[in-house]
Amino acid sequence: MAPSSHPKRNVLIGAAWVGGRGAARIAAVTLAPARVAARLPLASRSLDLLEEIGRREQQRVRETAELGLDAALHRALASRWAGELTERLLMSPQADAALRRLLDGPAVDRIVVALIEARVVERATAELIAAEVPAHLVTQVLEAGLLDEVVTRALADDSVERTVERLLTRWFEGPLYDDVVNRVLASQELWRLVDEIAHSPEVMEAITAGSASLAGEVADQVRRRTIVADDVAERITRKVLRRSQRKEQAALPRGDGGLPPPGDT
Amino acid sequence: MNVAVEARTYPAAATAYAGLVTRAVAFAIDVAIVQAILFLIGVVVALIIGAFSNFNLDGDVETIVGAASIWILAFTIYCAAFWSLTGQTPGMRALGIEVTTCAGERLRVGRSLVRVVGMALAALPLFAGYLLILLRDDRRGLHDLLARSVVRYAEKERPPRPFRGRR
Repeated sequence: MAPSSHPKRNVLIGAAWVGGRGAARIAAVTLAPARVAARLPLASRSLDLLEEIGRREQQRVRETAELGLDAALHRALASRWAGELTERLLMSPQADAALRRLLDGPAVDRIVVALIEARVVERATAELIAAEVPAHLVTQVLEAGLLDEVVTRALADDSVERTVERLLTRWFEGPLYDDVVNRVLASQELWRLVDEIAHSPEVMEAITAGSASLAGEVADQVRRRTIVADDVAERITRKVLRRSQRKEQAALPRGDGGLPPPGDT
Repeated sequence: MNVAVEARTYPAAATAYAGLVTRAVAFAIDVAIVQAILFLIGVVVALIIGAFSNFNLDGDVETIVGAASIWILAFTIYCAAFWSLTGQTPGMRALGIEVTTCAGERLRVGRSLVRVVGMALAALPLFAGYLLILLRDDRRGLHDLLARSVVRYAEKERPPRPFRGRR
């Protein structure tokens, strides 16, 4: 028997193709009335209504999920585990090492350079000032008493105090603190700043005024006392010699520029 | 703050003559200044001389007369220079007084020298020449009468304090 020139597989594919096309046509013909009905006004409105209901339900489900997540997050943050976890993370040598790596690495420099080049700070500040955000923010914070509350709570909380104390102790005792201090002391900018401040006119004027005012006050006091002593010496001498008292009014015109009466001092 | 305001008001009268005590304090300050200057000069001179020879300061009459002459000369130059240049010695400046002619002008060198001599003359009769300051209405002593000068509180105000807060 000679082998068939049409393999079975090709026959099957061809049959499926012809069958599928036929089925699609049958379905198109079958669904034609439904399509026509969907285009009618009444059916269109019903479909819109159904779509709206579906959208609303979807929104409700999303809100419920968000509320649940929010509550769960709040509960997680309020639990003592979260505090302990944060504390452990902060106190861990890995965090210290990561911070050191970050500060030692070029990433910080790159970020700072990028921020400076993009003039991010200037733009943000200008926009904030233009929008009067700082004034509003400060007013709102002060009026709401939020700052007081936060500070009061933080001060009243022993765990915060202990954590801060531990962090500060580690910071001051650790090598990072020495590094930072050494870098600051070695920077030329710091000494230039100190030099600028020391030689600023305000500082020089303050120093000069301090010494000048002391000398001036001493001189003023001496003058006042010698003026009184002048009058006393004259009065006594004239009384002893039985001379008339000095015609002070003729010699010393009174008024804003006159000498004070002896009793004033 | 009060001190500064009051200090500007009380010495401002043009005819407010300075009294004896004020002038005596100013004189004492000037004497101390002259003494300090001469002392420093004397130390330097003694060191220089001592470096080249044996410096021996004997308390004989010639030495004392010589030192007194130098002192009087220095004080005369000091007073005459300041009176004729600024009308005030540093001591007078500290007390806020100045010496002028009766017309309010600055003393010339000649009058300043006469005034210095008058100061010595006023001291000779047991300082009776200075007693006139206590008895005269214009508070002029013998030396003022000889030099036709008068001592009064400086008319001009002291310069304002240099620092008045942030500009």
